[in-house]
Amino acid sequence: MNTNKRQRRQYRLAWLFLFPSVSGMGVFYGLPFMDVVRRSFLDAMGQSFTGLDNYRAVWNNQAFRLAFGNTFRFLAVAIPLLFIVSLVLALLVYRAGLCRQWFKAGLMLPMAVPAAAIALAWKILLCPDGCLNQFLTFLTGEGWGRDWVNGDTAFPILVGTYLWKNIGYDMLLWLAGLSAVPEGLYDAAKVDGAGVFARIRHISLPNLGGAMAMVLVLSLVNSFRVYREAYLLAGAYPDPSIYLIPHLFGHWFLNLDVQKMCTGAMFLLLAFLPCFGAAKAAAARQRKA
Amino acid sequence: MDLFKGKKGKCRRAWKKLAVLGLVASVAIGGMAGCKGNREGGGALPPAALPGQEGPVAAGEGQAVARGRYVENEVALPPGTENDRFISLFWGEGHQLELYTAKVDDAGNTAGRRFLWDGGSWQEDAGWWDRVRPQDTPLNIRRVFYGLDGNYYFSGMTVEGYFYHLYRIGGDGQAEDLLPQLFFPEEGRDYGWIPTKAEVGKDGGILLHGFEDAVYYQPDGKKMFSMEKSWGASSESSIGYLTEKEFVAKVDGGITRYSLTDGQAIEMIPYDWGSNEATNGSIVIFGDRDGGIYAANERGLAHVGQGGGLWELLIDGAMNTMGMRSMYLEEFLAGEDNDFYGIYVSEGGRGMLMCHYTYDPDAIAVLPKALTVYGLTDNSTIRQAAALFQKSHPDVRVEVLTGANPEGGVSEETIRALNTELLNGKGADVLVLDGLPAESYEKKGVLMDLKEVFADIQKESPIMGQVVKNFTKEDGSIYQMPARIQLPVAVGDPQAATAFASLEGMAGYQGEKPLLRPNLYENLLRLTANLQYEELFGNGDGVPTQGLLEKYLETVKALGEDNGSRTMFTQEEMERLWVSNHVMPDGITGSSTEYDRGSCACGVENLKGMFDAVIPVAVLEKHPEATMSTINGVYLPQVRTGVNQGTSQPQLAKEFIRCLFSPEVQKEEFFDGFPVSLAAQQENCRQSGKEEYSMGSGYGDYHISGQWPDPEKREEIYKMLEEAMVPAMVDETVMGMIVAGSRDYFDGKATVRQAAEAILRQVAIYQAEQG
Repeated sequence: MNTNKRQRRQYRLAWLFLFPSVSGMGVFYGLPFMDVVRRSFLDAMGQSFTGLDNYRAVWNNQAFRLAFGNTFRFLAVAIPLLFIVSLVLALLVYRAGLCRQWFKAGLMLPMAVPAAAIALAWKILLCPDGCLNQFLTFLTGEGWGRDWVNGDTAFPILVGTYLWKNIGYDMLLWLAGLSAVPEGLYDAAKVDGAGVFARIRHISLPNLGGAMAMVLVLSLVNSFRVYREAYLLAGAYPDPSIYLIPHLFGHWFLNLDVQKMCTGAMFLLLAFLPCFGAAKAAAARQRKA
Repeated sequence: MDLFKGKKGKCRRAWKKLAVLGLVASVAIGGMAGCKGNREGGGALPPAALPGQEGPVAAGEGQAVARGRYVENEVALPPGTENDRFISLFWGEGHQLELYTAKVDDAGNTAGRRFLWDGGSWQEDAGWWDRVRPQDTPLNIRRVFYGLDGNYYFSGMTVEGYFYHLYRIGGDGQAEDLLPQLFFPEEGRDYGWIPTKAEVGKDGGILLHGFEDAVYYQPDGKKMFSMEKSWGASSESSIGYLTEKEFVAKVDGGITRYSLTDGQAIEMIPYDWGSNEATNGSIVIFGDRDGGIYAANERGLAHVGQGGGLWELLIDGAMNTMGMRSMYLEEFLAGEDNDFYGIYVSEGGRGMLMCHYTYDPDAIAVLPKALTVYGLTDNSTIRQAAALFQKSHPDVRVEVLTGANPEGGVSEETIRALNTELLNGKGADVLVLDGLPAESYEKKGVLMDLKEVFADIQKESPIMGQVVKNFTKEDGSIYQMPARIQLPVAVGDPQAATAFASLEGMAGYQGEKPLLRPNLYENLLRLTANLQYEELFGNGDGVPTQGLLEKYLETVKALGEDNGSRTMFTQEEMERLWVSNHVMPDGITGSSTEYDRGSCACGVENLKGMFDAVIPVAVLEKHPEATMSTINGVYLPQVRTGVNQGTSQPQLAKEFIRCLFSPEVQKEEFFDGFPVSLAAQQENCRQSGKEEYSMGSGYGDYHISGQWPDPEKREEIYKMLEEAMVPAMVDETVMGMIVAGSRDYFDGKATVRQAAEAILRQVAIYQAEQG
């Protein structure tokens, strides 16, 4: 009886402490989310109920399909690449000894540069009269005037921009994870004759579970911010291969197509829910193990 | 001991709980108090009460209402001055109000007239000009003023040679020429120095205003020092005044006090209420008796005390003549009893209006109703309508809001902010839709159907039938209507002008000279898109097909190759070809003078009013073989206005629309387009009083000048408006895609097919978004 009473009191206390953040979340995220759900069933001005018309219209909208496909293609390519490259770099930097601080600072530098400055630098590099074309002209002797941010190269350029910007940050997260692994484990493995790759496979990777989840979530969140770079590099209507969901939502809002925007957001949620579910299940499995 | 510990612990927890509860209660109460509406103020600050007084608060209909504000009353001007030109208004000897005007004869020469205010009427000082004017030098009067040394002065321009002279009127009434050596031209020059304004200090020192500085001279003509100031709105006004010890002048970003001892700046008071394109930042500044400064402009009358830095708005310009764009504020004076006098003139310095501003303690300070008008950019026609509407509705405050940033730029964020308001059922009552997604607003139900309003307008004082037809939907509804239209015309060889009939005609034109002047390819693209609007965008889709797009690009390239156009001109090319890298939204850079110079077969002009017709008409007079004609019936609708469906005062908003389309507003020329009101067109056609206007245009050795078109020519131009049947409203997003996508083609780096495909790929996404 006393235990139940104590438990109830503890629950109450927990809720009291949670109240400010839960209410903040409710007001600033929960209510707007409910409004998004509501508006996805109404007309643009929120005056009349339209049933599933918005869902049908958005699903059949070619611009939405393109943006949706591009966004997922970008996530499917950029996040694993970032995941692997940043981990490799973290492993290299972790063992870099004296140069470690320099590497870290160098790789973190892009995080400190404003997006507008990055876009300008990339433009200077990649525009038809840019440095890259001039360099290629110098090398080959042929006149290069390619617009790298439009055409086939637009997508790799965007992925490259994203990697360049985020690699340092993710590397730092991996390094934090690596520093938590006891050095004794590596020493013992070395004594047992384990090579570098064996130590990474059997000691580093199994101990980076927590860091892995963190890197995954933050990479996903940061991937939506790549729109800034895409917009600054190629404008409001970029090459179709880098036309992303934020481009579309921005234009829909300008045209007051809020009902479409809300419906598009619902589709995105539906698409991401299984991904989050799978990630959560994997994390739970790892905790159990 | 344990028991004691336990009690102490419980006690501490109890205190903590109490503290938490207290904190929660205080936050909750504070929050609720913060959310409480300010019922008394209604959210708006009442205008400042008269300095030294407090505006009484009266109860009206159960609610406290702040009372007390300045009200405007018109002062009758002396009879017979209707056609005179305003010269000066000031407090003269014995602190008597004096008005000076100039009578203009047929030859354009002026004779001064002096009127004295006796408290109830004006008394003319007959023969004043004959007494004071220099007998040996025919002179056109320019300005009269009363110096701080107690003498009268006047300035003028000689009829022969156009030289400036400054005279002091001696006790015997004779004019004494002052510092003549300063104003005679230097050797090798035709013109001497023409100060924009002259003032005389307490010690007889003479301050002469230039465009960028004012120079102080001793009475004997010895130069003392110069003081920086900004340029006034016109060559005959300057923003600054002299006191016994200081010179106060408008400078960039503020108002500066200079010491008359050494010309050094003593203080700079920030002031940023004056800048806008239409008024050219024009303000009148003058001092109070205690060293404070008044600044009057279209925003109203503001005051800052000696040593202060905060401006207090005493008279709100939005509520009286100060806010009217058709009248220019020429002079503003402080009266003797916390009152003020303002004098306004219409274009050309004639059509004077004098107003007296007195503090009325019973006038409601905050008007009970407010009507908001929102547009992305400032527009004089809207401002004029707001001012006239305000006058006819004394209980309504009309607020004109613009979304552009201080530099005049409009970002997508501005439109997003407006959309957020509209989505919440708020936003301005009246929307000026230029640059806004008007079609989308129509479809979404943001705009109110105004068919009844325009049915009434068509009955009472009709506007152009074809314009109404163009903006009437198939079901008869009307959501927006342009208050102005601009008319692109071809000036030049009539044979060449026929080439504008189609893309094919333009591309295939073969004459001795190129069809058009050299230009930026972007301007050529925009010009062609407007002139061939029906052919390019009239397929109902709003976007040309691939074949048509290729034809369009090839036409522009053919025109450009024929006349030497570029995607960007070098400095050398700009000087040689008399071109610039400036992009015009409609692509029309005004090229009738190029026809006159013989560099092209036709010039295209965008007539935004009769002023824009002066130079083309001069070209036509020089070339009797040339014609001026409309192009494919195209016109450019401007000031497209609609009413927000979510407005809480639909009747007022509709009345504002009626006011905007009334001849009273429409008849004014603001360089934003021709009136759509037929009565206003007829009135402007008949209107006299502008015949003496002349306008010149030139570059290097070339010069042409023209006069205000005569009634016949004006009628011809207004007749051309009847031919305007096709409203060209090129989608700026599509235009931007065409411009960006065709650059490589014009630079020779891509084929027309590649360029068209690249453009259509983007256009396809844009169209898909709308679907």
